[in-house]
Amino acid sequence: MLDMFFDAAKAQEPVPGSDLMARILADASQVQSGFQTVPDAKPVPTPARTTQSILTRIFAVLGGWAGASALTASICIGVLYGATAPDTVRSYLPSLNEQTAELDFSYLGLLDETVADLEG
Amino acid sequence: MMPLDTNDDINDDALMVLFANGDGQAASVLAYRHTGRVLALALRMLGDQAEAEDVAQEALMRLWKIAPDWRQGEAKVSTWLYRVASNLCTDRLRKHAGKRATEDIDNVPEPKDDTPSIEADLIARDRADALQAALRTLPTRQRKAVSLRFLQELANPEVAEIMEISVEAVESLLSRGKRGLAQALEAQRMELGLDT
Repeated sequence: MLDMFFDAAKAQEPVPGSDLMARILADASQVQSGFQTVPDAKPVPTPARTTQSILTRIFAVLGGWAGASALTASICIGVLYGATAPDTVRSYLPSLNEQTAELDFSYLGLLDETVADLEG
Repeated sequence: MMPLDTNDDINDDALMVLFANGDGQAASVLAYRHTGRVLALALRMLGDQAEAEDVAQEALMRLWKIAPDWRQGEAKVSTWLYRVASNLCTDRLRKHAGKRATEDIDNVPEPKDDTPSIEADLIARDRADALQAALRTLPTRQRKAVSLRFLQELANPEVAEIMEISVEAVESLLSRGKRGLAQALEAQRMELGLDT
């Protein structure tokens, strides 16, 4: 007995109306546009970011904060030494002001003799 | 009438991938292929056209959203949609439990067709309406199992997968459901003079 009722019900299968299909496809379009905007939302590198990246890399090559601090301290000490060291060095080595250097070029005469022997 | 699906050679898994990759036509094919079945199940479960359409729209919406994460070969799109739709129907039936429980077989809708029709059509419509009314007397799980098995014509294992129960449990629900339907229809036949 049930079969004829089932058959009758299957014959009355509802057909989705155009309004329903339009709503469903609008939903699909909306959801799908969300998929497509995801890649566009990724940040695009700018020139400022590139410059910052190079500075960051140099900073890293120097060894980070520790390296940069050490370099800065070395520069400061170098400048300080440059401004004050000559007097300090002279005060410790006063003889530098009194002595003169004597240069001996006699070995050049031996060189001339050797060349003459080879040619002669 | 809606246009027929002319893309039978493209399987649902491939359409899901196409949709996730931005192919607008894929959504159209999937929608025309599955909306009718989902709507039919929802209508048999809920007995209300507007609510059934809402359920169908919501089920398809969930399908669109899951497309990027769809795992090919794990579940059929149709099975997945039936499960989502039937769960949505169950939720709605729970919300309206008090209201629905008061409705009985005396509330069988009269044929709405005002146009002249041959007797066979009227009889078929009466039978369909009578079955719909009888379905509403069944507990939700029996109604779901009967609709999926005998009206959507799914195999018991697929009904079990949709309802997330064992095949034996499905068979039990179907047995009790058919018995309940027969009783309800017999009572209705006597009242309405339906020729069975």
